[in-house]
Amino acid sequence: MSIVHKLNMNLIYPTRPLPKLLSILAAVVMIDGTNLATSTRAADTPEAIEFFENKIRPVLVESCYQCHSAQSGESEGGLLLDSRAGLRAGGDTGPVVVLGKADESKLLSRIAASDDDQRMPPADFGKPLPPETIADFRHWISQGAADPRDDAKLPPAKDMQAAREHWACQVLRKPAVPQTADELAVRTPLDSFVFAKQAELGIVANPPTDRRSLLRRVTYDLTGLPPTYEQVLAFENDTSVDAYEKVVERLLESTTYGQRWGRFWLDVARYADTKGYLPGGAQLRYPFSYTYRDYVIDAFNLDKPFQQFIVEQIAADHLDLGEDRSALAALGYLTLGRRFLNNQDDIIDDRIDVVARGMLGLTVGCARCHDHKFDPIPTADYYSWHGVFASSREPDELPLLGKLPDEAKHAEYLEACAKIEAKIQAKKDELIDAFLQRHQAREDEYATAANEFKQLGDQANIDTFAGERKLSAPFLRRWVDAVHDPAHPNREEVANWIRREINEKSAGMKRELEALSWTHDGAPQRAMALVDADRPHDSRILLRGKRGNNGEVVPRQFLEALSLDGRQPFQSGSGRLELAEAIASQPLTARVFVNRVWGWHFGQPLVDTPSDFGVRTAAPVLVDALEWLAADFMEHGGSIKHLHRQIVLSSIYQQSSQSNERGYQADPENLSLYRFPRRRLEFEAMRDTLLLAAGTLDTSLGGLPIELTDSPAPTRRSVYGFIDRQNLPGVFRTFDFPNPDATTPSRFRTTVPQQALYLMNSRFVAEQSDKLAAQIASQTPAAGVEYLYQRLFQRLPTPSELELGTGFLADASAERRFRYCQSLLLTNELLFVD
Amino acid sequence: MDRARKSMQMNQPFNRRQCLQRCGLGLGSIGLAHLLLADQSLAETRSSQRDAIPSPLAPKSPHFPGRAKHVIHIFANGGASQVDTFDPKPILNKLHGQALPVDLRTERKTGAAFGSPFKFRKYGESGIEVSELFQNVAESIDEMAVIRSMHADVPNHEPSLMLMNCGDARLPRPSLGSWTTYGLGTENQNLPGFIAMCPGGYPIQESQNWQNAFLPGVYQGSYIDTKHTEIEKLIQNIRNDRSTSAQQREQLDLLQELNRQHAQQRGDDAELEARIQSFELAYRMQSDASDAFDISQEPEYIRDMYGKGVQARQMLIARRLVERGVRFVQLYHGAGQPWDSHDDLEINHRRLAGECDQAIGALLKDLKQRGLLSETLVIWGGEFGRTPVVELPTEGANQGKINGRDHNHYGFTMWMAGGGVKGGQVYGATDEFGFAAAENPVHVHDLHATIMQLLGFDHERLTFHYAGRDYRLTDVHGKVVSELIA
Repeated sequence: MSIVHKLNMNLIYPTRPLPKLLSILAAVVMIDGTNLATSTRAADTPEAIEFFENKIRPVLVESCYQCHSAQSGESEGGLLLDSRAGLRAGGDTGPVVVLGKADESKLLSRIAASDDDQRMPPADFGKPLPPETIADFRHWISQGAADPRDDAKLPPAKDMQAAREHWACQVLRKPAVPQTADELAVRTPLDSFVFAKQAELGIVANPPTDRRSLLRRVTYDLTGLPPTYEQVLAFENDTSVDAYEKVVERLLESTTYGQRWGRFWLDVARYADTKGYLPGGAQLRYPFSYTYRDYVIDAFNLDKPFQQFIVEQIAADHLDLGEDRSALAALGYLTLGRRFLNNQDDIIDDRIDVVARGMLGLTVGCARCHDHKFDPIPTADYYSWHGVFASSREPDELPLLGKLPDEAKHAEYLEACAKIEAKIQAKKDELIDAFLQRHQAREDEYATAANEFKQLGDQANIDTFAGERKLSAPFLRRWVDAVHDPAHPNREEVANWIRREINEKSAGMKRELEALSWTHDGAPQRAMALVDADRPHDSRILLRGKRGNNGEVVPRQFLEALSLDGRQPFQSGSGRLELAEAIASQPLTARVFVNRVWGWHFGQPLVDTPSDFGVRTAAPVLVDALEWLAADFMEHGGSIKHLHRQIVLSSIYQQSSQSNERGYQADPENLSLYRFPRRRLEFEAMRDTLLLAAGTLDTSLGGLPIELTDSPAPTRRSVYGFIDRQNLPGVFRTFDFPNPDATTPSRFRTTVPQQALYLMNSRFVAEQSDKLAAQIASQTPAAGVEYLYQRLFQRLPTPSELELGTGFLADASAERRFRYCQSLLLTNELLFVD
Repeated sequence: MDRARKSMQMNQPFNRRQCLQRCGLGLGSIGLAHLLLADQSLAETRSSQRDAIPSPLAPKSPHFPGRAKHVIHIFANGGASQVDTFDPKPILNKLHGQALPVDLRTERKTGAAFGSPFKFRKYGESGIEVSELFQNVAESIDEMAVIRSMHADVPNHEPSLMLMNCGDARLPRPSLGSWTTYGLGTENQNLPGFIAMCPGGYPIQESQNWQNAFLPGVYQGSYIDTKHTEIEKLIQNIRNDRSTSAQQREQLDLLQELNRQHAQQRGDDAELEARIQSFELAYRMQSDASDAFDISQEPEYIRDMYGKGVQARQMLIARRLVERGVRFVQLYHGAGQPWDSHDDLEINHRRLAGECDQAIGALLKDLKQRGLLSETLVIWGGEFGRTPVVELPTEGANQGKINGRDHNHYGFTMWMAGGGVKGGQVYGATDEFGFAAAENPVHVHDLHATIMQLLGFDHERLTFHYAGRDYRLTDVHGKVVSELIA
């Protein structure tokens, strides 16, 4: 608890009080209730208490509580005056009473202030306190500020120990696998845990699903694409005992697996290809964001050990990578967030948040302004991380990745860069020349104006003076200061005066220059990396998260609550590597990831707040399954593919999705997984499926992002779509694509008519329908229907479906074929996975 | 998990446990499952369904009966000058050209007092003074509460737009319209609940102005470029250029028959059912939405009342939308920051007001004559105001002219009318020169709190749990200005 206490005792006084409006601050400072409440009460004699009750308390209630009490919910300046501890702790700017020393107590100086801006209560809340009341306060403080009020209302101090006892922070151990009634049905240990829970509830899981559904399920699940009709037939006819295992291995070996599962992680990484809004015509696109996306897809395909995956994304620049520098691209996890008008504290906050919630499942960001309300994360911990990221910077020249482009092309690229750079320089020269010509021609006016200005004396403002005469203030200053040859300033000096104009007029060319990174095929690929600052430094706590509202300096170090054996400040550089290693070795990190993977397989994670495993998050119903899986995952070197096998090879995963009445009665939320949850395809899987149906899907790996909304539609997989976080195209939002401004715990799943409008009327769906229709152009209606059912649904049509289809296609016109195909592409059967 | 935490959130559009218990979706619906079964008649015909999940956009009750059911926010983006519109300061004309004893820093360098070139006169029974720029609007002055003591945080467009729209200057937070539709849903399921109109492109800060941020995507404003008049350019995918309505109906009938056979084999599944219904809604939306935006259906005298030009058209569309139950309509004057008169203020403000005064005036009267004003909150203002002093020329900007005003967040004017607002009053005041809010200052957070109150919400209780805590529009700020409420 000592850290929290220190925070209040060692406050640094700002040089001037904050304007009142800026100090509207509502959250309550957590103070060390125990220490303060039990601190000496020697001054609390009966007489002193009586004095307090008669003279002090009524004034506090009448004049102060409105803005400074827990009860009113107001704590202006972080100051609470409605409890003994609050009054003694002081506010954002330090203690307000110095016991026994009234003249050093800010409480007294503020109520006695003659300056309206300083005096409490503020003018709009009441009259100044009368002199006799001020005298009472002086007396009361001098006598030790007796205060009998109890501190029951104070929020409890943060209990680090309780956090250490929290289920999610425990060392990973495999729980004993329970015996179940139906041992034959157990395929992986996870089944035993689930069956045991179901037995407790008196329910029985669904029987295995049919082979076609299973193949479709696992193929979509692992690759985001459907199987072919031929694959279904082969699987149905494969009688070998490991037929399903073979399918799973084939899918895990396919590079389409990484394209599917990499995208899940990109949700966590709040991946986008742009910086968000920036003023001044700045280039809004990240030149090499896609190298991070490709790193993630490769990491899944290569089954990169989980801990390595975590460490690389925070500190790849600290690792000995040898020849293969590709892991540097991992740092895009940190660097590809929104740029918040280039406000550094917000950029750092975004990085803290994506690391803390994305990897650790903790909402450390809550501690930016005040100690976390629920979890033992003091503000000091936030600023310990702040120091780590403030001690890291993006290198001026981004590091090269892997292989260089063709030499001749690279030379062309460099030449193209040089050409634009020369244009930028020429524009700058031109503007400087124009300025000089314009103003040098008025040399006499400047000389006269300077004399005039000097006569005005000290009060005159040269900016205003020059502005009103349409003269340049800095140019005029040279005459006023009588520098040598005032009409011929140094050109760089002039450039500085007209910087705004130069920037505005060269912004377009600068954008063009940066754009060569993705428009020129001779541009080498680089990593959106981070390196340590030359002089790493600790950060100061910013009280209430406000710049200038300084608290103490805190060392760069890991979270106190998760540092079991005490903690040491980070030693090396910014401390990012140590931070990364601390995170990667937390059992919490493994639990959080395994829970996410579970959710991506089943549509609902075990812990339904996947990015918040704080102390208020209770252990899930199937906690033993989570524990066992997480421990097993780490035992197997953090192999994500191993984790997939444990899940998809289970009976639970292979059961049918049919409704289960008994299960529903006992467990309506299906938390015990008595049926496989039917799911609608996400945006990417839906789009890819439509392209696949049209026969044009391109499953190649990697490269520059493409504009998905272009027409005709690009045929690459949707994971390669360009993501503009500022103006995300409507179709992304319509289909619940995650908001790329912050890490996404799980996607929303909405059903709204705008989705139907898109499917019914968009050019994209029409294009795919046309291509699908072309495939049956030369077939009879019956053959066409059969072909389409095999292609889209991996089965033959039922007699009723055949009849509906042939009826619709009876007149064999191209338009009817088009509309029939489009109807099939809109069906629930195509867009849901049983 | 902690159920108490979830139930603390007031007015959640969907309580997960309740949803799932009722419809048996099982694991298929993660977290906030949203299904659309708002249409009563459709829901009834499907009574065999276990239970419909309420639509995220279905009409919902606020914390207490609200006075305003709809909001029309007319955004004078760029920042209209208060001393030239609704906050007369004749002293500036007396002191014109003289330095003022005020030292407030704004974005650029400023000089001496700059008297308004526009004439003010009293209007209505309340006798509130308004400049000639808004003489049509002023005819409804007795409906309007003119807040002359608005203030914001910084003199820059981007953060001020964000503050005005989303309650936070920098971080991605849901917009006022998103919070409103999250809290109240909307009354017409065939139209978007929250529509943002801006002719010719985006305002500064672009679609972030109507962002949903961490709220579900359904609460994002639908952007409409009112430069266009053809419906298919106004709303994406609203028309089908390949099929007639009858052909599309035939196609949907086939689709729905296939979907029904598919659903029958799978037992009750509300999510399958919801998707079936969404196609019917979409089908009807095609014609209903077209109607809403088609102002040629208005009688001529109404069109004449609003006048000509794109402002007139979008004001009239706004009325048609509200009339049809759309919850929140925001109208920007134009792309970029049109009201940003750093120079040629007289010419520019006259032109800008000339484009919208008649239309806004007509909107107020039209709403009133239809009985809609009492339940429609109309808000007018910019992201900040302008300085009462003249802006000095900057190299490469304002063409060396000295006849405009800089940004001013210290004090500016907004007005509200209808929707429970106490009209015919001036609230608050700027200092003697019109620079900073001096009397009864109203911060943007306070305005938001007051708007929420008018809509029937305690602004501290309309929250959304995200990233470990409950968020709200006013964050930790905001005081309701009860004097503004009738």
